[in-house]
Amino acid sequence: MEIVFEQVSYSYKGLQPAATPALQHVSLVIPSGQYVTLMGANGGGKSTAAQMINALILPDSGEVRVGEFRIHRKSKRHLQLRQKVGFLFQNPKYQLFGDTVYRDILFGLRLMGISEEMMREKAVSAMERVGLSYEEFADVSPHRLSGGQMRRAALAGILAVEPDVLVLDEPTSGLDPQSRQEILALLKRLNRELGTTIVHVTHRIEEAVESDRILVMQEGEVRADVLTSSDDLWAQLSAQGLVIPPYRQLMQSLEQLQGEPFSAAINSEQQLIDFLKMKIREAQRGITS
Amino acid sequence: MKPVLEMSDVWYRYPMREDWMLKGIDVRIDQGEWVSVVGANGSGKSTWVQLLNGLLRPTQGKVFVHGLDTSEEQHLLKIRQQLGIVFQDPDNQVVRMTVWEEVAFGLRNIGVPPADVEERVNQALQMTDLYSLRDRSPHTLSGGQKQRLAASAVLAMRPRVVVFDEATSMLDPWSAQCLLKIMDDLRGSGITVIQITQEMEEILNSDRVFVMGGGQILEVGCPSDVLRDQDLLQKAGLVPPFVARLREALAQEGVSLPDETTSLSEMAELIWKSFLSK
Repeated sequence: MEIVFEQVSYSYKGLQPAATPALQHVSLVIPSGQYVTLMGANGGGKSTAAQMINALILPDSGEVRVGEFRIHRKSKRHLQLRQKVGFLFQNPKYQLFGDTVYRDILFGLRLMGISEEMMREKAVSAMERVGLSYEEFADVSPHRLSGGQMRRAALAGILAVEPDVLVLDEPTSGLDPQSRQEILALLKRLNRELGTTIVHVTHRIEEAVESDRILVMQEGEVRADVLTSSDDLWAQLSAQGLVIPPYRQLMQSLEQLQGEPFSAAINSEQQLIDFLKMKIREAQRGITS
Repeated sequence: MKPVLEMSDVWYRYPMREDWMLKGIDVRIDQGEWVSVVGANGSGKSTWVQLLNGLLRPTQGKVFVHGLDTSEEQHLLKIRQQLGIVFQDPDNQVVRMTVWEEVAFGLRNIGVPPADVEERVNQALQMTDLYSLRDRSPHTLSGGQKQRLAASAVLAMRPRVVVFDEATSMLDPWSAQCLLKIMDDLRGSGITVIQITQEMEEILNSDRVFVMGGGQILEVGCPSDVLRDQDLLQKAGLVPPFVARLREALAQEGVSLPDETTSLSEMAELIWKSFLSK
């Protein structure tokens, strides 16, 4: 499903005026099937934009369109939209209601008006998809789960209804490295295999570069819109004041000393470490021969 | 001197459950220490935090906060004044109309006289660099500012211990740095800091690191020793920071970078000189 923001503005209604509106005349198009990340400092507007895709917040002015659904200041009845757009909250506790993981997943499925048997099938397959085995977790209370399991249980509830769009507000915060990798791999698989459009809010640049496109939000505006396949990806991100991961900084220093970029494609810490190890061996062979 | 926190052979399991979440924890933390607690999801660290101020009580064993037993109901109020917790989610902790009132709220609740409230609130807001925002509505603050507000509310209680329970995990890198600076300042003023985190980069300035896994404390050590112990970290499901991994990998190939080189540009020059330029 295509997502379109057209001149969208919004400010939070507090007693004291906020320093700047949360969104200021934001216009952008996310084509169906794209995997987009939203980055930027806390307060930049990325969570606000994300919540609008699911009509959790309505624009003060302008319009958001998701497929045929229109979200604006006076739009109502967003139930159908929310079946198409799954939203994973930053804190999964906000969306786990059931007394067991299985019953929690059924909660969303009941709205679909399908047979009990069908619901069961979809619930079990959603649990499998997120890596929670039915036998082990179906009867466990969501509140007894670890942070990573809780996040996956909430995601299973969303995936069970097979949404076209998935919006995730910092889905890996508070997770250990292993669980982070698993969630990321799952998102990439959903995007590739089912064509799910993904909007992923994150502070982690190493996660963002795994997506198709990065939008950097600052003071309610989209300040940068970068395809991760572009040659000057890192220069553009760094120009936005984002913190470049240490491996990338080291690599840049090394390439400067060398006077030209490395011939090998290096896109992770491990790849740089492996590359340097290889270079040590080459240098040693050079000395002995 | 009494330790500020002491646990001896503490076991915990949820009622009606057979599996132990914590299995024989022994801990002693002294005044003015900065202790970081690291572990993967499911290691037991969240359960451990809830035992610190009596939110949970041990199934077996005892937890003492400055000598007070958390299992005794009559001590809980005092314990919670002495040990404050800043939680993961900044949105969960805010209730009042203005930043200043938010911090004053807890003090008034425990009957602090108005003149003292004023002094303590102002001081707490200055420590967290929020004084200039004192009249703002908490809801207009950014996530990082909200976490500093949560820390101010804890500090105004004049606790002996401040616990940061994954308090940086929802913050952007810059806001996370601000919070780490506050932890450092607290230690400097003699307050004990207990920091629960998954980010190995954040433990570098602490005094001691507890590594948790499978409901136990697997190891206690200084940050540099813990970061060097790849087997331990792997067992705990943690990934050391890039620089530590690189140092280790190069050492295995016979290239050792001196311990004192910490900046990335220095490292780049050493790497360039020792083998890459050849």
